[in-house]
Amino acid sequence: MRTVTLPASDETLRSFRAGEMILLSGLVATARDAAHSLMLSTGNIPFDVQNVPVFYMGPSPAPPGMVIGSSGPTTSARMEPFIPEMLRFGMKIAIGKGDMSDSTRELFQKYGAVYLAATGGAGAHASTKIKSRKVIAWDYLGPEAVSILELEDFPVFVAWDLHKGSIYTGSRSR
Amino acid sequence: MYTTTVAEISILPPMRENIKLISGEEISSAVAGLYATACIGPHCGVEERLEEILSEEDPGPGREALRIEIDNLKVAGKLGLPICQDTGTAIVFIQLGNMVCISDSSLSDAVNEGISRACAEAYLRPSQVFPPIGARKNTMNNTPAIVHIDHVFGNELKISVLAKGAGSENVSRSVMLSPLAGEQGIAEFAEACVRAGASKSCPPLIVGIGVGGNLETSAILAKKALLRELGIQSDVTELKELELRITERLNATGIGPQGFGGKTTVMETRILQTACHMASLPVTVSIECHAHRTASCVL
Repeated sequence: MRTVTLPASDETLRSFRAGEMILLSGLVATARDAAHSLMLSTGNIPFDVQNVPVFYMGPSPAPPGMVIGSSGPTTSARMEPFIPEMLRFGMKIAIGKGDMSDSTRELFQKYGAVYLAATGGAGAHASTKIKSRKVIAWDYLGPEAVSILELEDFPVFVAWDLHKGSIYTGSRSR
Repeated sequence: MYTTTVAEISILPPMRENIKLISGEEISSAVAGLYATACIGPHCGVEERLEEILSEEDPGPGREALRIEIDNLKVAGKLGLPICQDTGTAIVFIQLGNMVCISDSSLSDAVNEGISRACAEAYLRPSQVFPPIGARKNTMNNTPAIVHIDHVFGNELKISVLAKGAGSENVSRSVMLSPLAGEQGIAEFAEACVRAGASKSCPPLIVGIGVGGNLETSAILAKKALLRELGIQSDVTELKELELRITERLNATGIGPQGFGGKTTVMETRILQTACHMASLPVTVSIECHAHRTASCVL
């Protein structure tokens, strides 16, 4: 199994192939609907979006002695209205779950960005691959606050690669 | 001031000794336990079912994701963490016996107290916001729960909790089919829902289908179908066959676990029906993720 340390180089991103499983280590930033709306309306993205992947995730509360609660991905399609601007700001990796539209997929290609899928509904497993969590903005949003996570061997699947490959071959309407 | 106690209410003698007094605290305590158990586990039969599905799945990312789904159930039990961070909207189904008297609380207050308590004590995620448009401020205790009450004969109070995540709820749909659309119409609608939404809703799925009634009844039936024990089919022969045919049809899509491709998109289909107007055929498809979280008890 391939392991990738973040931030990933353009060459590494080009080597990703749809369907491939990868173990990610390094820093990612969490943001969901409310955080995206705030980031883009204020023009303040409180992390280095060119080097830090955006993970669509809002954890359950951490019990005493744990760094984070259950922490699986949320549905990426809800972020589609924000994605064009995030790509213009330089986002290179998005991590979430589920297929998105063809037009969003074309934008990922255009900006040289990849879309990775974590396993939905498996948040307890995901929590064991997160070594730290620090809230960096909009704490009052609770689970939707923007935070920085340190991942260690966090399993993801390449959903969309840079060669027009997609892991979601069966979900399109026919 | 005059207050009436249960003992003073005039009740026919044979009924009086059958009355069961239940306190709000008993209900809150039961609901809190059920909600936490539903979210964290153990989950009757799901792990075994996923193991079966894994053994039949071809190599590929779908199969690898299934392994993680199974591992997750084990890890959640070991760490006492919710299996999914989205501990859902708490949907509470109550069968309220006619001879049950709740002594010191409204039923919905007692239920919400239980949900709030579980949210704090079991570290479940508060996901409810109000108002739904505009500020969308988190209520921070995951209330209000959604409560459905059926009045039944007897002196028992049955409580079933379904923790339903938004990923699967957002791709559930209702439709008013043409009255004679029949099995074909229902199967086509179920397939359209699954094709459009499966990859976003964490397959292998359970598909609950409510047929008949009206707009809201079909939706409640579809939800009630999700409470059915895993592996149990409809006791109506025609519906049992339709459940199997729809499951087969949905698995033929090849969408697979997590939408990554594979043989199993749907663990099972469950249908509940009721009468409807001669000019209608209301149908709701309620999609449930592999992180199927339900628990029930009788007071």
